[in-house]
Amino acid sequence: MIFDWVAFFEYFPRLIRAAGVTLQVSLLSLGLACLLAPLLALARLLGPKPLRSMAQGMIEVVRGLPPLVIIAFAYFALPKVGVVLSGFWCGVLALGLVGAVYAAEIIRSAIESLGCGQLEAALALGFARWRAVLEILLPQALRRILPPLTNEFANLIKASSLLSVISVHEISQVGQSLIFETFVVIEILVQMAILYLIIIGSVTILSRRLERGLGA
Amino acid sequence: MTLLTARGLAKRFGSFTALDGVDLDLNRGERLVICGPSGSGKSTLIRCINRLEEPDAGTIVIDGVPAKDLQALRRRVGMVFQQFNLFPNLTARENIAIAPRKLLGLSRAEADARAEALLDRVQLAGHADKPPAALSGGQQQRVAIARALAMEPVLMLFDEPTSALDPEMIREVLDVMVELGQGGMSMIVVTHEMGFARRAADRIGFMDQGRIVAMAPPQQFFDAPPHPRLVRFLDNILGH
Ligand SMILES: Nc1ncnc2c1ncn2[C@@H]1O[C@H](COP(=O)(O)OP(=O)(O)OP(=O)(O)O)[C@@H](O)[C@H]1O
Ligand SMILES: [Mg+2]
Repeated sequence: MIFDWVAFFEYFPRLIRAAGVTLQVSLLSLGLACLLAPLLALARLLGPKPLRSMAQGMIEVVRGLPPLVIIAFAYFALPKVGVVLSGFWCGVLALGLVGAVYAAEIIRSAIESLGCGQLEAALALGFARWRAVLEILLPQALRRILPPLTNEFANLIKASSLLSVISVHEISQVGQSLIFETFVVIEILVQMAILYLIIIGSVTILSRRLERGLGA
Repeated sequence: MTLLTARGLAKRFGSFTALDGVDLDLNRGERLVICGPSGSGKSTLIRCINRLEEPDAGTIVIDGVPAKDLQALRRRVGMVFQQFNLFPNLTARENIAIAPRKLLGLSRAEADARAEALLDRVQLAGHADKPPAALSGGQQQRVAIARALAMEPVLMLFDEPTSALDPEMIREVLDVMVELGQGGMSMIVVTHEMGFARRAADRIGFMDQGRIVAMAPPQQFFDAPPHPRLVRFLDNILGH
């Protein structure tokens, strides 16, 4: 098999543009997840009974469904209730929700794994429960949260490839249509792989840095 | 004179009765030791006093005020745990300073100064910058005592503070507690260290099956145990 360098460079610019979309979707849904996850985790840990049940129900449902189904729901069901969003924003919403739910569980279990001793010590000093969790437990849990969270965010970036089904022009969608247009398969697959590795690799490296910063 | 009055404290876990109507009085500056067999409800009793356990029945009045506001109550009642429960991500100084800073509104400098003074008091000057993991068990427990004192409590609760310690470290912790008592601190100490009880307690209570079945000053407690089960308990624990 001969690697066709001409084809490789001919289609690269289109894929780079697609990588930009992947990056945008990923970062936006990541941001949404980071916003929602602590709220969900705190609702589950501290909320009054109804709130806790709601948070738990939401987490169970989202975890119980393939992301593809959630993406499809966002794209096809939201307009029926009057919420019309572009494929791009549906993708951000769906992936953000999925990421938030998994991240919330990571945060919750990290805090719970600290054991009740830390919490009781803080309570005994006079901290209100929510302050004990936010000001004493969460900073401690951070170091345990970061590694699995990085994993989860890598998964989120990979899951952005699912947005090809709702015609978001991200790496997988553009790569696939290029392959069907041109029958250049390997060269394009290699480009897709490189771009994903670069994006996911940067996120991983960033979080390692952060981890080391926290560890010091 | 009276600092704490508890009446009819009861606590059940499922069908098990852990506290079965306990009455307890503590005078200001008094040092009370509580002992008793495992499962007799000692921990449950002192955890009910700062409401880490919510009693099913009974009343607790501390300093003339019924305990309504949980946080306000706990700020005035210090607690030392068997397992120290220091915050592992903080240095000794920060462990002590964090509560006064966040709960009493002290500035960082004020809180740090308070922490340093307390570290000095528990013989740990020079260890301020160490995290708990770099301290021995006995040192950690002394930091935990300092942490509780930093809130300037009117009452200190100890739940078997030396049970998790190697024998050679028990003494250093007990010495700090004796000194604390001599300084006028009101304390309730759950412990099986009978040497400490003899040396430092004003009264010793014996719990069995969720009740305080005997209460006496040390001399009488040891020399004329006022309850048959206490006689057996002392025989076991003192190794007669
Ligand atoms: N949260 C809980 N849930 C269920 N049972 C409990 C709980 N806390 C305590 N108990 C039970 O209540 C009883 C009294 O417990 P407590 O911890 O007060 O005993 P203790 O006198 O401190 O014993 P030890 O010397 O072993 O510390 C025990 O039988 C224990 O199993
Ligand atoms: Mg106990």
